[in-house]
Amino acid sequence: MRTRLVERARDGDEVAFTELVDLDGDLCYAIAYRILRDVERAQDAVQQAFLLAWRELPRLRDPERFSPWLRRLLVNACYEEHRRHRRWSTRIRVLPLDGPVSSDPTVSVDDRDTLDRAFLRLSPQHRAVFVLHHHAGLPLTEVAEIVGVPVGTVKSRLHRAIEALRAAIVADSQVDSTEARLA
Amino acid sequence: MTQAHDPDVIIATWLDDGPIDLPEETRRAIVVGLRTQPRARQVAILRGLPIMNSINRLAAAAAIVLVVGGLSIFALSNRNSGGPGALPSSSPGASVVPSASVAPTPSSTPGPLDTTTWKTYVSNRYGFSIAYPADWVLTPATREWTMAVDAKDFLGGGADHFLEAPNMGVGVNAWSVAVEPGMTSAAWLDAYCPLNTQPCTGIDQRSNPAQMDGHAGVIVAFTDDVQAFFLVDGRMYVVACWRPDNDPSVAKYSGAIRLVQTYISTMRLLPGGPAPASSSPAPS
Repeated sequence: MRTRLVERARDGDEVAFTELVDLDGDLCYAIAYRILRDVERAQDAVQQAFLLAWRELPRLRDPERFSPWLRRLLVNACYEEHRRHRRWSTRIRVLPLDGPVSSDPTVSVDDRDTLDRAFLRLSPQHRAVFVLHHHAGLPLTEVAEIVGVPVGTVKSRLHRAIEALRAAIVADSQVDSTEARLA
Repeated sequence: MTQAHDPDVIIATWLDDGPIDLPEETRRAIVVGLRTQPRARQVAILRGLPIMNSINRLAAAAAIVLVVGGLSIFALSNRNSGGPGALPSSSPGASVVPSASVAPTPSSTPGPLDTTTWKTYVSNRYGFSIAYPADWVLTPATREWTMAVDAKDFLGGGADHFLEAPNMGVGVNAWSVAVEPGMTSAAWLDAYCPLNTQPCTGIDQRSNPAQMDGHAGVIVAFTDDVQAFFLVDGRMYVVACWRPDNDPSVAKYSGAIRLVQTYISTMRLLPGGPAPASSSPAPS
């Protein structure tokens, strides 16, 4: 069904492309948000990726490759959003006033803030492989294809990202226990 | 340590937390935006052609042989007169029919753009260095370019990609691939073109001579793109801009031909050639 939709969209069928947006939009948005940690920039990245996909779809020979192709466009759009945002907000940390609030009690507000900060210190390239593998559940080979690096580089980026997040959580819990003892 | 304080559990929960539904306003913006986007033209897809029976197939083949043969004789007589963009070809018949849809490349084009602010990327995988505008997004190749896979997919992982920022409206690819011993540029193009672009006839007429690091080659204008080809020491080096020369998106570069000219003006072959396939990691 998806392949047929891609073929119709490639031929200029806007309705078919809209159905592809409905099918893939949620996952694209979930990925973009987790890479950028910003609702509005994630929306911009998804919009940019889909519009580029529409523009360039006639060149896509193999409709079966639509999904990895779209994710590649999305990741590039996220990189660009990150770079554009950095130009405007160097050294300014934007507090998410209306951002998503954690509903899971496993993650305290402190933990969430700690992880957000640690994650935002990572490069968008590290964030992208982490999100594509651990959130979207893509195999390493597909992640490598999407972000444009060898599998070995994906592994090292994943390792670095996980270590950074673990270290942040551990350091935070040590500070908490020290403060508790002092109190 | 309890499970609630296991860093991995906390990280997994934190990662899953957050929005998962594309907001309706974004969806609407995409749908409305479709109507304002110029679209690339579709390349010919052979499987869409009607299925022929054997007699029709034989008749069509005979007709093609006659037409191509006649045109080959015509083209060879023209080629002997020495056109500047003529490619050495092992199968001249496949690339001599003039195309009405693509204007011939002007014989004299302006020089390259100013590249003083461009960044240099070294492609160990493909054995060259090349510069690109500092604000473009670079995505290095993830694997070796192959005719079977990558000629059909201009965004695949077999080429180094350069995408214009911020809206990624213009893309340039660069890669190289070993060609069979004794194969000419024209023979390689005959195999590559039908998989990748169009028209594949009249290439000689649309070719402009070009130089890459002192090596001769050609820049060819196709309907939807402009590509440069250099056959050096048994390896084909290709730089492709996925926009037609007169597309509005490349007007700021004075056209796709000039943009490709500029890219190749910065290109240098690495002394040792490409790294072996198994040990050519792209930069992280």
